[in-house]
Amino acid sequence: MMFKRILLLVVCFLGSVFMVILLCFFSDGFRHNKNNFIRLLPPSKVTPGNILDFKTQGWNFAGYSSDSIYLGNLYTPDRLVKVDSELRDTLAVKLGIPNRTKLTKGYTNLVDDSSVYTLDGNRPLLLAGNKSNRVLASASKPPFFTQAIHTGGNSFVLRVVQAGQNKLVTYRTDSVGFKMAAKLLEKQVDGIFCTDGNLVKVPNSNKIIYVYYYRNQFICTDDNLNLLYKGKTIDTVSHAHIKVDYIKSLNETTISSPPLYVNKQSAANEKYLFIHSALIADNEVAESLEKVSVIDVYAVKDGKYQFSFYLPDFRGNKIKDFRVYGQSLYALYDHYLYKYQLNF
Amino acid sequence: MKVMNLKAKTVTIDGISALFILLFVYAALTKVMDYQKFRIELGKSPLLNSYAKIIAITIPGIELLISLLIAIKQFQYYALYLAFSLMAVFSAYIVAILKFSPYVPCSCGGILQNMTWTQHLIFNMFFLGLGVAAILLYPKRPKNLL
Repeated sequence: MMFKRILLLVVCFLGSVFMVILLCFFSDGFRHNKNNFIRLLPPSKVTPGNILDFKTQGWNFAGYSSDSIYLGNLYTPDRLVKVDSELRDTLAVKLGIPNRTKLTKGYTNLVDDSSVYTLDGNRPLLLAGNKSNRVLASASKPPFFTQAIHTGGNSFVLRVVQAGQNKLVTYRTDSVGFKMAAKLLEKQVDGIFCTDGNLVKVPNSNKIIYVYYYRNQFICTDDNLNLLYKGKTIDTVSHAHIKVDYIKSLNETTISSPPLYVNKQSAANEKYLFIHSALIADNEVAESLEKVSVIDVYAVKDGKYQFSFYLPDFRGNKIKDFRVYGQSLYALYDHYLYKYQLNF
Repeated sequence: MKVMNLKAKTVTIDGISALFILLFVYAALTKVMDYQKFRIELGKSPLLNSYAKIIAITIPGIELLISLLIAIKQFQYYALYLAFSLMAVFSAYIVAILKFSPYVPCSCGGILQNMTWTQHLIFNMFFLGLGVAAILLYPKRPKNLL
């Protein structure tokens, strides 16, 4: 009797496991479809350089000026860290932020050659200061925004939500205020999630690039948001694969099926646009991508694909964000900053 | 199984049965009460997204049905096999998510949503063990086929 019971238990167990295996077999998420594109992977396009360990979390790029990189930290709004381009020295930079300034977790610091800015799109507020004395004061009252870049002088480009859709606007801290651009971001599903992406400023030029997360497109405009061209990334996902649903009990709209990421972070130097791609090419095997991040390179002038290279994971961490300043690529891996030299 | 007398066995089995009923009824109710959220959470799972709608209805249904069967004395013995199998399915699903999925979704709403996936797996293993114990301890009755 005992034997029969044990046998029956084993049968039940194996049956259950088999059901889940069948489920795996038939589910979309586990199928590795071909993506129908090929990557060019020429050797030695990047050379690894120095590494800096911050030991604490929460770092993000704030800007670049005269051979130094500035990083902000989520937990210390009034302090930036200045790192020399070879990642040898770090220097804490104290910012004079007005008393009783309340910042949300969505705040960002921006640094350029002459100015320092602290922006928070959720409040919303925009503090501006001179880089020499680093005392910040409220410059003006911007609209609510979800992304911001500085385009020189007192001009910014902001991403705002208007009528339930993401829009790009130009914003000036003087009396001009903000100006809506004509239909730049194209709605495919819901207008918010489907148009989500990364706003990138091309250094030393008036170009701005917006790279969509969920489709194979990016747009390039001038700093007045006049469309210069629409670029295509090399994959074939032209339509955002996302579904959104509204959860009544939480009063929030959320993505209701796993979104298909096409492009993750993006960055640009004067000549090239760098996109951290989320998709595997037909000439790559999944195993070889497990411990690297793929960066696809496009020409800024016309959006044409050039080639790709891999950035290896560092101590088990994937790159979180990266910037390219001149011939140097700086990647943030959790609390490590890693420099790569570009050989092109 | 001579170590325990019949009464001790019955008490143990009923205790385990009560735990299963508690677990399944609680799990089913939290899913049904916020059905929409549960369905959306299921949709985010790389394994279940194409079947989210069907699974969102059938899982709480099966949980309630098994609880009912465990509560009825005549069906208790066989219902324990069903409970064991359901826990095995959940455990296998968690292993599949942890080991083979391209990414780990946030844990499904409802029951014990503060547990990590690994904690969840250990919790399930514990219930699998309880199920095995209850079935092996089940007293032989003349009517029983096994």
